[in-house]
Amino acid sequence: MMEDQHSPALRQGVDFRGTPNATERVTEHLRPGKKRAPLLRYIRINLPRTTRLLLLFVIAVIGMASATIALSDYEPFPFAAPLLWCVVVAAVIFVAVGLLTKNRIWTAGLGIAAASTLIYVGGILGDAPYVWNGASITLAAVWNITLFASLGYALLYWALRYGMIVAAPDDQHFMD
Amino acid sequence: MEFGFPWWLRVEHFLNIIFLSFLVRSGIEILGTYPKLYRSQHTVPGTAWSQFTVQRAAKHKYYTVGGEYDDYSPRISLPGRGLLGLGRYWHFITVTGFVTSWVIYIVLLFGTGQWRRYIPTSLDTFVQAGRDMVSYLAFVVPEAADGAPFNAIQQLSYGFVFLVLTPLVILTGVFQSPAVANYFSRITRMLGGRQVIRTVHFLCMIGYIVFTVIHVAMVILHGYGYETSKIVFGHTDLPVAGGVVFTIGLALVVLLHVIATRWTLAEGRAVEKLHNIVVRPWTNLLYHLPARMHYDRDNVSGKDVVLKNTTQNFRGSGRPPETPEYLALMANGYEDDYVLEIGGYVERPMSLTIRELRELAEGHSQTTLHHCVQGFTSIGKWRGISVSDLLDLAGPLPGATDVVFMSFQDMGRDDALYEGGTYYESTPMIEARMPQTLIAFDLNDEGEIPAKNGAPVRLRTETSTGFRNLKWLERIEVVNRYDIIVEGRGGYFEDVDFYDRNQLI
Repeated sequence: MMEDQHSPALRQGVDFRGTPNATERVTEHLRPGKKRAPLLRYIRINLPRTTRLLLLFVIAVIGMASATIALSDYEPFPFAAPLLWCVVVAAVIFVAVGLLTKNRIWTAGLGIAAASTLIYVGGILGDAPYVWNGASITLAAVWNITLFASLGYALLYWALRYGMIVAAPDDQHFMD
Repeated sequence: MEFGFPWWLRVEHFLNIIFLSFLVRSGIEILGTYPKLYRSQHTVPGTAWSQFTVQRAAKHKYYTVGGEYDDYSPRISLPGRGLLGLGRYWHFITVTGFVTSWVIYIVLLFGTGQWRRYIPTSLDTFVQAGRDMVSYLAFVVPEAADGAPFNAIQQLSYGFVFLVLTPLVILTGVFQSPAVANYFSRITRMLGGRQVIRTVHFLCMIGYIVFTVIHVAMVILHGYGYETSKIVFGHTDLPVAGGVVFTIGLALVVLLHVIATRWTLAEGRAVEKLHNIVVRPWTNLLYHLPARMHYDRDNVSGKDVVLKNTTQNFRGSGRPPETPEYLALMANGYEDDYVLEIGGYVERPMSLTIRELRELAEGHSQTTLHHCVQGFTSIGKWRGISVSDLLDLAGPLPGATDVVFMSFQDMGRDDALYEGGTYYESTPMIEARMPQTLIAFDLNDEGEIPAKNGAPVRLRTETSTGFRNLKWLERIEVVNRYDIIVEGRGGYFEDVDFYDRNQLI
């Protein structure tokens, strides 16, 4: 309810009345009885385009590593190849959509990372291409990259949801 | 040659644990008072690439930057609680030890031929480092080359930390100093400007933290006792004793941090004394670097965001005086009423109006970079007359050593963040006589200086941090000693807080 029809600011929809930080210091994320917020709440990075590219890069790495495993002679567990190719195709689509549109596709990326992690776990239970299972050092490294990249994506996704980082088209909207 | 682990290398390793941990914690304290980082040389609101605060941006803000402090926990920063001055003291005390230790280490490395342990003598090292990385990813620990103390990737990463990261952090640290940055102004600009330098300095800290995490993980992976035995005894024969001794050493470092933090919070002046003993001998040398900046008009803050009134973007700090006298001056446009008094230990005490100051200045201007002690910067074009010229007019008496500048501002009355007292600053004659130490009355060719930036007349001491560039100037007094004024530390913040009068860093 607008109290003062003659106020130019109010007519523009700018209403700071009752806004605490108009007159005093306002801190966010404070838990009741605490003086300070949780440590990671203090970190806010505003590099939206770089972050978007980083997220796409990590999924691209998962896709490339999965393709390398699928093309090798080594099968981590029975019928792993079709699953690996599913991850590769999903990663290609993800990267293409990420580069060509402005859609927020990060939860879909988490699905790809989760699928890749599940395949890795399947490999542990099966016959994963580790050096001690007879795989070459390079193939074993690529196999482990599927895990590290997936965990890396999950970490970035968490940071994104937590507000530490933002990916384009979003922005931290720093005022100062 | 047999590389081994000579005693001086092991001592340096332990000292670095102390130095780096103190530097990181005190560095976080410094960051917390202006917890924003930028990619250009300006600190234009809204353009930071990162912020480290949970404070919501204030509405109706008048750029009281002091209100942007974030008091980090003493468990994280040294000493915590937003005590910038004490954080700076610790940073500079530690930097003195860190740089001295690094220089000695480099001399010993090259003097004994040990540099080969870090610097690759063949391009094959890079190829081998790639292979080693693949090995680690394959969960296979790569072996060191014959006769070498580490594998290739360890060699390159240690070499990077000692010979690239450390010089870079020292360089970007040195250029945080207003005296250095404004004396070597072209290099400051070549490096991207003060805010880019600050960002790189911060990224160096992140580099050290990442390195430390990976280094510790690798030590555990390679065998904690085996690796610590090397760095404690210089050989791998006593892995249990090595592990125990090193762990006790780490516990002592933690204890040192606890003691330093508590001591600082309880006895700030004692830390100040330590700082003055350790740091002042080399910071006093910086008085030989007078500012000599000549920025272009195009560099003025605000140009890059296409603001008509660029002065809007020259950040201010602190609240203007709230006295009837000052408000009356402001209401009358200063021109007819304002009088600057110059007196004290001079032959010819005088008072000058703005018109007279303008005539004496003869159109003189300087476009300079302002360094706030908290970390923000702005570039502005100031018109004014040099303090040296004014002193020549007034004629300091023999024995005059310092120049005291008094403001209309009373901190307790005007700024809710601080306790009472007239704002004043004193400069040694050597700084007052520097060519770019200026009494300014015009900013960015836009007429009078705005109230937030110190209207109608303010001081510019371009070799010092911002708070010594006194705003709302009322009176200048030449004295033969400053240590009998108020608390005797040479200025308002020096008296009530923990800041050295030498603010050249």
